[in-house]
Amino acid sequence: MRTEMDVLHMDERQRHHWLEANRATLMVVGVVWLLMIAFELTEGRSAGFLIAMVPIFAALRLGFYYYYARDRDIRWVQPVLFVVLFTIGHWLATTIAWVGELSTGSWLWFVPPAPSHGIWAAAAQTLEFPIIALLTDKGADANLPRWLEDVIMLLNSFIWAGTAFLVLRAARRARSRRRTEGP
Amino acid sequence: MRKRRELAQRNSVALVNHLKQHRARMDLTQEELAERVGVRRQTILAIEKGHYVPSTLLALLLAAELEMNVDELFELTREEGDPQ
Repeated sequence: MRTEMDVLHMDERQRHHWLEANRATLMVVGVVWLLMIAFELTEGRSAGFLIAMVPIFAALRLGFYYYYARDRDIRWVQPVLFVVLFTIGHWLATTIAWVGELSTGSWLWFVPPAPSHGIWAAAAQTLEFPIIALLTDKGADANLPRWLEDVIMLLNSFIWAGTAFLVLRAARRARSRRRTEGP
Repeated sequence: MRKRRELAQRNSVALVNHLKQHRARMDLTQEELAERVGVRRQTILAIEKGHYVPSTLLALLLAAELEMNVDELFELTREEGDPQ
């Protein structure tokens, strides 16, 4: 994979220092993230998403480490990485769908103005399945605290990720079984 | 933990290089040598000053350009205070 270091024609020393700079930046971002959590809490807000993302970032970092270190004997890394990345992707897609659904005008040509909102509403309804859709249907989502909404949203995305992982694993196993059995 | 520290102490070595002398012998500037091995001039400077330890690949390229073996260009010395 071509990286930004290739694009910038960096030699090995520059790459080394670039990665050191990445690490330092990551630490600054971490401190800012913690300060944002503290600020939200002092303002009396839940900071649910900010807090929930801390262990996810930690898991991602660990996962990427094992991925790049090629420690293949640790078998749980790739499934965990898949589930975490899929969860984040689904969460992001749901958020974008909601932004589109709730938007009252066009926004950078990305979110079309009403009445084109139908497509966003359909996307949101699909992505909200099963937990959020169930809660909305029962009308139980109205009085939930904000932090619980964040947790439910992440849990919903996690269910999608887990299901995708199981489906893919079943498909891969079926394919390898077909290969070993042969024609 | 203690065993690991003892092992690290026993293996505490420093890398010294003779890049500057051999580059001068070949009448090459830092810029020229850098260009030949495909790195920046600052990287050659950093290696000469001992601020940067090159990869095996770069060490081999440098040695090849200076027409010598890697172990003539780079050598390991025991740190001061090392019992061995």
